[in-house]
Amino acid sequence: MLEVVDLLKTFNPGTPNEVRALRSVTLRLEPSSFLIIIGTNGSGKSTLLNAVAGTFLVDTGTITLAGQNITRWPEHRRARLIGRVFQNPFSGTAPSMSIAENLALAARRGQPRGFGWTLNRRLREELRERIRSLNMGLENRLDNAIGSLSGGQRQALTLIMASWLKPELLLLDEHTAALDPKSADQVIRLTHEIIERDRLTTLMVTHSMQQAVHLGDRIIMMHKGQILHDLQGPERARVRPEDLLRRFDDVRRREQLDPAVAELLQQRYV
Amino acid sequence: MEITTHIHEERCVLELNGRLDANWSEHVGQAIETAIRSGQHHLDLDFGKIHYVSSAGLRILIKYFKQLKSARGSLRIVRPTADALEILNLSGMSSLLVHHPSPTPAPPTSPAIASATATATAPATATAPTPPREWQHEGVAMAAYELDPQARLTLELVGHPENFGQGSLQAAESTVVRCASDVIAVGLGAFGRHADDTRTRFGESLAVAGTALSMPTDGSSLPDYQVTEASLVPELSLLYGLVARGAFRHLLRFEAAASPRGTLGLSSLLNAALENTATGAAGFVILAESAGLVGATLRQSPALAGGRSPWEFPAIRDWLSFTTERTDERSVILITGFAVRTPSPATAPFLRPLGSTASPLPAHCHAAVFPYRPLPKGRLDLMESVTSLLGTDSAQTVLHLMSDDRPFEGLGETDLMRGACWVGPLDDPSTPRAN
Repeated sequence: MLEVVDLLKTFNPGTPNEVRALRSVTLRLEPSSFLIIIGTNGSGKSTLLNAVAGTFLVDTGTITLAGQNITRWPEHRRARLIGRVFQNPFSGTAPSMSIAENLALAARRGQPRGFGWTLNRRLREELRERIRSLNMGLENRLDNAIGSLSGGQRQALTLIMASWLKPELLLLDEHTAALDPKSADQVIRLTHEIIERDRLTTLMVTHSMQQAVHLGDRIIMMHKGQILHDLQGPERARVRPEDLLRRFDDVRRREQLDPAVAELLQQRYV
Repeated sequence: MEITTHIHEERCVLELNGRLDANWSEHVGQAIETAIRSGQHHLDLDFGKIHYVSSAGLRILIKYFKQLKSARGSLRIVRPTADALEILNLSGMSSLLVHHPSPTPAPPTSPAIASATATATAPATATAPTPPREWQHEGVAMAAYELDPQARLTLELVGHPENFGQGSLQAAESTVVRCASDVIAVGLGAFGRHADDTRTRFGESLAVAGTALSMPTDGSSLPDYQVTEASLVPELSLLYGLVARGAFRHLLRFEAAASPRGTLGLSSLLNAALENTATGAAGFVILAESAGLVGATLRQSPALAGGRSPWEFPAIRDWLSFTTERTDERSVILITGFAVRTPSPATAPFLRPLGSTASPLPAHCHAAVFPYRPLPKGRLDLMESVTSLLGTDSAQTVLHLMSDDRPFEGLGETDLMRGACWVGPLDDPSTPRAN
């Protein structure tokens, strides 16, 4: 279970560039739940993921994962509990290493590797089986450098690597945003399969309302560092992409309602 | 809406808990669809916790009743509450849908699912066809059909709109308006019989041709609606509003495509309608293709204000949503409203200036927005048009139309492309007869 309580994060405090990226964000995520985070640019959704992953330390608040207070843990220590896929397909893998080597690294994440770790036949067979299910023909290219693969293939492998050890928490940060539509569909299908099969607790950031509606069991909409809407249960079940777009539109309209519009409404609304 | 599904005596039972309105009917439909797709062809809908069913809900029930019947399956309503049973009885659907396990016979209902078109009182707009009067208004092609030279509308004022600004509107003081086929109405309203039920949902509402629509302010994303079905006549609880009974005198058709602007402003259309009907006060209904709407909708029910004025800034952001740019271009809109050139002191608080600052027209208009569909040309029947519109599409929103004449950044007013406008001279009991 993930629990974040009263998270605050301000970048560049006390300067003209001060940004209050997270403002008292509190969230409790039950085991095996799949949470989708949507929001406008700068709403704090990626900042929330980064705060949980430990990319930076929060100013105040606590983060508890699987019963452990990880608020002050460095990023590499949290990586033992957290799998992560980034937006950029080139950031989750080592391009000069082969597919098999990349996967082997993921399979041994958190374990001491030293100079002694080997890619033995048994592990190779296991890797081959794992990636056969992708239907991308990669099982016969285990020794190819991962840098030679397309963005979609790399992102699919990154997803397999991030979820290999069944992490306590899987973080997906717009992981299909940089892919062409067909590849994005493939990766989304794979995402759904892996999360369902392994019952992974997942936080996924997306700009796609279609993905938000068709994946996951809960949606939060963030705005200006706060959770504006939290849709779960029946509300979540009935929500449609146009409902989410309407909520975004509503946020925009709200911000554009300045004192001049307020005066107009007072004169013209009845 | 909570839905729990289980199997009982070889029937799939869906226990429903909530309001079966426009906001939830699609969700219930999906649950029924899921059950059918899983192979269940005999469904019981447990209505033991359903106290309200709107026309959107009835539509879903009938859709799946017919679908299952054609598949040799069945859909039944079991354990209906008294409120739900009354709605089903009045709509003539209980004999089809409600299952009574006891020997007690079902209450008598009409045998068929009667559509509003077939059963509602015929509109008083039908007259012998005469050629329309045709002319140009600001370059817009206009054609006026005379429907009934004696037709008039009689206005009734409901509630006190000035209480909105003081935050003192009370659900318990709302007035239930029966929206029969000869009624048009605009105001802040909600569907529901009790103040406890309506308090959280008052929003922009309108009624026309035996149909009422209301935009709930309880977080629902869709307007709810009620359509006359057999003996079921929509009832709208109004905090305040304008209600008129009677018939329309003229039908105006307008086409702005060839005009210099390519569109027609709402106030311009209303001025043309008033001139054509030679009256200074009118009730009207417009069915048109939108070229951009300007208006506002409530965010929360004014019955919850508790003495707080919604006009304070920035608190007003919690109360009202303004379009901030023209919206819903190329949508079909159904507008109901009233325009009075010289309103009486009693009527004036219900109206706001529409159109240019130089020659404003006091008016109050609400618009329901629907997906685009081409409108038939020529003479149209209002009841048939409204029934057809709601028979196939759901309204996306309801908003209060207004003019934005702020210098430089003002959006102007709602513009229309083409459509139909039914107009009736208005008798305002609070003022000397206008014509």
